Amino acid sequence: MTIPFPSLEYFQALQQRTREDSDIFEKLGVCDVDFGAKVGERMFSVRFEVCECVEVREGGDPTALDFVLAGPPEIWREMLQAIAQHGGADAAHTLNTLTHVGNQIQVEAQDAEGSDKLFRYMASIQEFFDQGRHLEIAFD
Amino acid sequence: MAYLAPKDYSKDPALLEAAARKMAGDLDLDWMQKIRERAAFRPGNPHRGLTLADINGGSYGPDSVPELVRHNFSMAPRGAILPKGLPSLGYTLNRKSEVWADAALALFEEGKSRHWAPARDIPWHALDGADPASREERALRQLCSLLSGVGLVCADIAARAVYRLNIEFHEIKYLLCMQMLDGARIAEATRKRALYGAGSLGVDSQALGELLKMVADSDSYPQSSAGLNLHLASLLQSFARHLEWATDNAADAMIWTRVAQDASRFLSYGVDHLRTLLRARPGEAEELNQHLDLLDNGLVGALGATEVIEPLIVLSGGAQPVARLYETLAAELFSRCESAGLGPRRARSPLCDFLKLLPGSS
Amino acid sequence: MAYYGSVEDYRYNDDFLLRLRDLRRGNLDLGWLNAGTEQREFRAENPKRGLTYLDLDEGSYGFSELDNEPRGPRGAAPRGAAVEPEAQADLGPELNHKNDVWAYKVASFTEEAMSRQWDASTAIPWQDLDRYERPEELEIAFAQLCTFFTEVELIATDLPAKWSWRMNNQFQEVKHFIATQAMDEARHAEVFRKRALAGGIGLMEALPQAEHTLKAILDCNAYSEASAFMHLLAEGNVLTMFRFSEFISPTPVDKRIFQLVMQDEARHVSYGLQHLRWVMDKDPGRKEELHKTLEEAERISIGQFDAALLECMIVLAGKGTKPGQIAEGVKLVGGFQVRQIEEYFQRLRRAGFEERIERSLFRQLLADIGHPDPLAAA
Repeated sequence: MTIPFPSLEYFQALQQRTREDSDIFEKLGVCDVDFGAKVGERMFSVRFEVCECVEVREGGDPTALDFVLAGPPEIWREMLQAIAQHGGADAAHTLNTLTHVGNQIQVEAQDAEGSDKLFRYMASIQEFFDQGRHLEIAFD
Repeated sequence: MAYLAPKDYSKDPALLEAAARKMAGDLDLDWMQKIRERAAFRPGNPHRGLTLADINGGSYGPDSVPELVRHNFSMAPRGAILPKGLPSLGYTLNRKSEVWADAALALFEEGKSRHWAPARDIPWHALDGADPASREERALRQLCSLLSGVGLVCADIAARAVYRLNIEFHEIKYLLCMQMLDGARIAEATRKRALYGAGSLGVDSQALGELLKMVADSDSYPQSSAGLNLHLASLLQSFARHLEWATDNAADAMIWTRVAQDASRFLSYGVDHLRTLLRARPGEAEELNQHLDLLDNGLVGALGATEVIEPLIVLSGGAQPVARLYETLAAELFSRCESAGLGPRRARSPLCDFLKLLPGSS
Repeated sequence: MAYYGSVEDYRYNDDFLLRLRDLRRGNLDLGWLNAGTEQREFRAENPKRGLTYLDLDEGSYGFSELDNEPRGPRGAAPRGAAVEPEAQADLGPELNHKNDVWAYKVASFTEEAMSRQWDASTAIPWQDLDRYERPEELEIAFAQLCTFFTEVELIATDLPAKWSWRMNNQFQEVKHFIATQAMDEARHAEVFRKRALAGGIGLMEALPQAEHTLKAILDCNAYSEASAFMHLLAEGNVLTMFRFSEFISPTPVDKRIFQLVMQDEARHVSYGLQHLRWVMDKDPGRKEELHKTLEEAERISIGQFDAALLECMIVLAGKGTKPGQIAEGVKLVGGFQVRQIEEYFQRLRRAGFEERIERSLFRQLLADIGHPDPLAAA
């Protein structure tokens, strides 16, 4: 089944994947974070509790989130295509790489504590997006 | 702050100029020529991954470390090129036989792979059927209170050595860090066990505390290692095995199995460490034995203390199983000491007389 | 042995022997059943999370109600146990004030650390290194970077170890967090050593200036000083370096290493931030002492100029040593250095120590390289 991106269905499909591949997330450990993924102007909120993605929704208040990953649709698309092609992000498209230099994706946070959560849970959040390798995605 | 920079670098034009030169693209790159010994180690067994043993080839291995380390007091890793100007970090454990054990490498790998987290790995709900007011439950909570303190002090004893240990023995440093974690986890698991449900902690034990303080205040690392890795670990392992035997629920079974497992790594290191020491310096056996005589007396005090032995009797349904537990503990401790090269200790240890005084002793 | 216990030989101690005689007769004292400690109901609030330290944060067992000066207990007994101060084996703890060691959220950090342990032997796909072409000069630069990380990571085993055994057992959650940090950092030293020795080059040259920073950290006079220097400034710098190193890593194997070490490092930085914040809130009289510490720490950090480290990062960032590659590397490393300082300032702000920024030696450094004043920007 083809899933459109950006869409709530896409994030719901990733959420479902965290349940189906729960062993991977359990092994990575506890991950308590509320973050946003902003694709162009569309914002999606993702909530992880313990080791599971417990909620995804469209919209959300960025100031109530730990951090927001904000980038133009073409960068998100490039990242998702790389994940599909390589079975997970390749060297040029890991979340850290995209958010570090050049700020292709911005990490927007209210304070250092919030943005540091991205780094504290980097492997879990990377794996969340890498689960897109199991999805067939159609881009707008 | 005790350490002062040798000069005010923020006002050092030479330093800022050198940095500016680099940032203008003027690189020396002479460091690229400083390759001392090439290495491309791979896992010997892919299922184990790349282990410490796999990467200990050539001069990178511990065989290259002399008995007395005189060449490196910095944090420069073993096998790196040591330039002039490396400071001393004040290590006081610089003699290989004083700390080394070949078994440490495998024990560190084993400990990582067998990590557990009490919060989520223990099926706490399996305790829901326990009657919090029963004598057995209160006895277990009393023992957990004491073992929680033992765990904390075990972590402290390992910590006391970590920063004094020369970096050339990095595998031992790693293992001691793991012992800090193991000790803290024993303290965590037993505290949580005591408090779960309608829980409470019990009373402190002065006699057990004195044994812990004797080990913590040891004069030398070998003495401290003997106390921690033989005496305290034997006590922990024996008690955990006994408590696993006494339980009828999955949560306790898992806690005590894991605690025994962790304590066993302490024991393996302790035996191999003392064996290594005594092979290199057999003359130290008598001094260590005298130290162990004193610790055995401390152990007698702890094992015979009312707040230790009575809850064991309550949990075991009588005194006889406790006598068996203590006899086994003593026999295994003697056996470990002998295996480490300390010779037979049974005849000189006060533990034997103590065992004869126990109710139900054989 | 410096301590011999209070009883010379239990075999000849009348009290001890009488107790054993009573036991042989089947008379149990059972005084321990009347511990007089609190009985409370403790459960896992969220079964998926399990039974956490936060679930136990109640009454005399909890940490929230723990006084800054928990008078009495100085031995092994855990918090909440019945202790007779005059009949305990005094372990001689030196850090007996909660404000000396405590941090907001430390219990959560500890649980997180226990849950997110990983194994450098098996979590890294070492076999895959051979799948990627690694030009010699980049591998040399990476080996130098790994030598540096192997060298500096163990300060964060030694410094916490130096202080943890001096802490009163009443602060169990902090001591446990510190134990997890020691283990994390041992694993970091392990993974970087393994990478250096798997890549074909081996370990390269140690860096004296970096070592002087380590010595300065280890020699701090007080735990809070050491924490501000190490957790907040030094590990903050290393966290930014890990992010940058992930960015410039030559292979996905290396990216995986940095993703994992980054998580641990961020947790340590968070503890340092929250400890500093605690001190700012509860013990603001210590600000001047911490200003002095961080001023010297900043001075030493500025002096931590090891040409090999700077150059290997430039080579890795530019992906080679040709002039164009070096120019690209310099640009990227310049941005990284500014980011290190910016993130340090952000953490100071979050810790409630914003006034440090005004006095920071790094402001002049930024001005020297033509970067806008962060205070003006704020």
